[in-house]
Amino acid sequence: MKKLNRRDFLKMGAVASASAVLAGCASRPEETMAPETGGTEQEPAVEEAPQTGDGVVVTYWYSWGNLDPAMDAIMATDEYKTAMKGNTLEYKGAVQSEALLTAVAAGTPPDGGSNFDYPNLWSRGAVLEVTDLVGTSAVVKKDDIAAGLWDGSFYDGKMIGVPGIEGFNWWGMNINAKAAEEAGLDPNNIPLTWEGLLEWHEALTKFDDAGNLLQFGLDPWDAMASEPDFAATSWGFKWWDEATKTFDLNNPLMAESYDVMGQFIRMVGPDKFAGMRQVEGNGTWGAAYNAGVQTMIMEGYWHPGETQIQQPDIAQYNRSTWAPVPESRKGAKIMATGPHFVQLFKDGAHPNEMFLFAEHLLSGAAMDIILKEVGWIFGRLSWLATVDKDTYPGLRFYIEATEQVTDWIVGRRCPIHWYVNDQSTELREKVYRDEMTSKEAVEELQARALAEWDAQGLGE
Amino acid sequence: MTTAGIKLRKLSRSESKGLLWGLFFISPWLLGFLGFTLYPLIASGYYSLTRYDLIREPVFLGFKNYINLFTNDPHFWNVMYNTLFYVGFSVPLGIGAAFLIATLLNSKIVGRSFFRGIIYIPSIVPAVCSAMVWLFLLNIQYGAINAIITSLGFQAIPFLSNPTLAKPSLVVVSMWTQGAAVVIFLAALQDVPRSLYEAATVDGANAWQKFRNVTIPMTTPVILFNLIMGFIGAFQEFTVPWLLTQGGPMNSTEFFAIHLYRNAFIYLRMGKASALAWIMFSIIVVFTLILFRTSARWVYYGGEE
Amino acid sequence: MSTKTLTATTDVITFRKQSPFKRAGSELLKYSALFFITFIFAFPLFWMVTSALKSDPQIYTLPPIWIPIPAHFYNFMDGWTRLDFTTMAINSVFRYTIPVVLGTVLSSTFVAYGFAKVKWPGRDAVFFICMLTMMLPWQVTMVPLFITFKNLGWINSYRPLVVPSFFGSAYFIFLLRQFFKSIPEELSDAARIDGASELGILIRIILPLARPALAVVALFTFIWSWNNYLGPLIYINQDHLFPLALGIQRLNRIATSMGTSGNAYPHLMAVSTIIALPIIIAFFLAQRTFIEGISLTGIKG
Repeated sequence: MKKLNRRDFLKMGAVASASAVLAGCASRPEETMAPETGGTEQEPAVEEAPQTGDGVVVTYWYSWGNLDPAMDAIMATDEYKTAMKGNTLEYKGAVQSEALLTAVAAGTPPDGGSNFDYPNLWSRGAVLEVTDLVGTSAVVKKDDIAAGLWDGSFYDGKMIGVPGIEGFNWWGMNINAKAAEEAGLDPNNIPLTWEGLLEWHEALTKFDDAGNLLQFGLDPWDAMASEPDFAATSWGFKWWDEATKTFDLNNPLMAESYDVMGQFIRMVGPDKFAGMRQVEGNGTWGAAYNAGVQTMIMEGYWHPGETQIQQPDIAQYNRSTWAPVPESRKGAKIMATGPHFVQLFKDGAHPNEMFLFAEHLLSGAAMDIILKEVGWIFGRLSWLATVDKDTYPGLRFYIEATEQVTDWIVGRRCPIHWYVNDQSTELREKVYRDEMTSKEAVEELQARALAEWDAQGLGE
Repeated sequence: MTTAGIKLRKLSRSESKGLLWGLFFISPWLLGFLGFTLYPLIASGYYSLTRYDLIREPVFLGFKNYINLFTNDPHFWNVMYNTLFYVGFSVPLGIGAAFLIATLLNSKIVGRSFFRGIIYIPSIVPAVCSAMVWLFLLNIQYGAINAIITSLGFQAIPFLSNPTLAKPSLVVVSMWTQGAAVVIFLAALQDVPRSLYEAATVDGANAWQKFRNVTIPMTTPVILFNLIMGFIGAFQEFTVPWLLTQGGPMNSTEFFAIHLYRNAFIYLRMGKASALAWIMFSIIVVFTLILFRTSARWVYYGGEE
Repeated sequence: MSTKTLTATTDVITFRKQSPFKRAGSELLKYSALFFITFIFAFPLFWMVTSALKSDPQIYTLPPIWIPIPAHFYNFMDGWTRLDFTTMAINSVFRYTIPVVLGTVLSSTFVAYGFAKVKWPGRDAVFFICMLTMMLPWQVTMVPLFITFKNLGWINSYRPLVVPSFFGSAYFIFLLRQFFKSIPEELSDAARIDGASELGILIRIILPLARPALAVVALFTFIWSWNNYLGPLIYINQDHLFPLALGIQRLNRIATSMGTSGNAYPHLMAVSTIIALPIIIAFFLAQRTFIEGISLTGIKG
């Protein structure tokens, strides 16, 4: 899921989302992520993955460019060659969703794909259910995968892809400790409420004499905090009820989130934030943080590693802690989770061979390379136990968070998640630009969500 | 154009001969039209009457997509306004600026090919690249232009990040790629016979009168050409605004092609997108029809008249 | 400004009447205007090149760095080899642009002649339909066309991009028709009286006059296909078949999905500069033909 801000998301087309999982296995949002919860009745049998005769060429498309360096290294290992049983992988990174969608529409998709819009592809029937295939696997096992990631792999009780590549907890507040100290703040005592954070935001925001922005605290709506899942979890409500398939966006708490988070924007100026995001959208949201201009950012398990790989000068000052909640919910520790997948396309020629590679992505050999080259982790428990929690500054927080979290959800489960997210982005901008009240905005948001639901034929 | 019909009626043998030759010459286009245009067009017309997500079979809805767009869509009219604003300013300003630059280049100057080259180059830089360049020029934080402004002690201008300024800024960016139009105008200007100017001078015309009565009439076919191409291009403008502003801030640059693309490939509402495309197509057709109808009155073709 | 520049246009004719002082003033004005305009057009180009010489952190530094020291010249080489741009260049030239230019020039000339010089009933109506096709947004026809080409087995080849060019391009048909129409009718009429067929008139009378116009069609087609990425994006999925524009798009995507990593943004600028160069050179070399082509005339008399 990372790196999927709205702009980037839009750019790739609906895709992106990764973790997506809007999938349907009823998640238990109030439950903690203990390893033994969740899952299906499916008992994995230990068997050899399906044998293939002559080697075939398996095509695998990946939506972003991030994985490219890791893939080169993975495909150069002996473990990879053994795992593929004589078949070869043709990997293609940075694939735009138009290319994928047209290929799917024409019946010529690749064998496997990742970081496209998983639930969307599933709910429209483009990808294979992998429950049985996973059931035969000696590698992809419920016991060995963090519960939230396992649960998040199911939609209506069916597994929509092979979890892997990356996936763990997100929504941590990451701060640049050096900047905090310079502003006279204590980086070991980061505020955990919106009220406290706003004071930090003010202290960390600097202008020059002409009023130009030199440094700022937090963009409350960049990175992972932009999506409705976040506001709902921070304020403690459910905007989307999976069981009844109903929306609760016209909610006073949603309106409150617009007002409270909007204060961060108003303090700096809406135009300045919009400008920042336009560039961030191109460098994704880490760029200003990496440049030291932004001092606080809400991201996830990938943040420590990516920052270290991209900008070690900044990463050394990285501190991670819980994302903020309103004063009234002080003490709540919120997190979201969900896996990335390798999805197998229905019209793909070699699903079994593709599955071999999906399994291989869960191997220590592959995950070590991904951690080293890209900075990502995946919640395969036996592997995670081998990871040095201090590999990257701040990583420890995300790994240990599983034990302490109080409110967590499997993110992005509503089938029109991205539509609602876009509308929310537009409407809250109207609020902080004083074109609309927050009450009007959430009313409109609810109305638009319902209209889109019907228009997509989901209500039938 | 209409006189041709009358002439032909008199000579029916030559009429049928002309028809055969005409069909012979246009046959490549005709075949391509049937296979590569008409069929996909009809298919998209059908899609516009359906709910279609590219993956599953279309579901027939009748005119629901059109009705919803016109009566019950939170974005349609705003998108229409944005697009008309953009087209309404970028086309006349672009053509006007291109014409003036061409006029300037057409004067007796040293180093004409150098100036002409510099002005033309931006239009051949890959659009993906020029969008990124402009992003880093106009951005309020990282933009080079704003760096100049702030180093002079002023406040940076939110060119692309203010809902009021974003559209005019994109109009300015679009003018940067008018190089092709400049070159086309320049060629047309160089082609205006000197004798006409000499005659006008003899008649005592001043500079403005010569411009108005010689230069402009003699270049009308080219103006028409640029006007039509500019209009079609501006109405379908996609890559640069998409990469620069993605429709924002606050939907102020959500243009027609962007909105269409968003619905087609992001929300997977190919049916609605096809309806949008047909509406877009109709607007362009109507406008061009008007231009063509009026062109007989103001466009001068040397060969015909 | 228009009147000032116009005075300039007609210098040849009017300078005798002007005082040397006035003339110098108008020259000064003219060149200031020219330099100002050229500066505006050149500045983003300068920025493209200077960005190509930066490293990632230098891109995001505040205030922006005007001229990076040290300049990262190796971005040009690194960017070029980051993806296999050499193969892409070969694909772009031999598999894509040359066939498309050939197809477009041939077919558009043919068709434009049929619309411009042959009189036949229904011509204007059919021409209007031809013009309508130019107004079709690509998004509309994309999916049905893709399915057609897929049924023909043309995916992962340049055929979906090249074959249609042999069936005429509405834009160039329009352009050439405009030119053909401005060639005096008397020329073709004289040939007709001498018994020439329409095909003969096209080949012997029109084509020699139209050579510069065809150069324009060729250059425009070349630029367009050189930079087109939406078509290849959909039809070409195998890396060894990629054209340059798709590589550029891919670099941009890498830059946007990885942020400040691996100098993707400077590489994008560097490779874009390299890719724009052949067209810039072609333009400077062929300027005269090009300008002549655009102004192709028959109006002279």
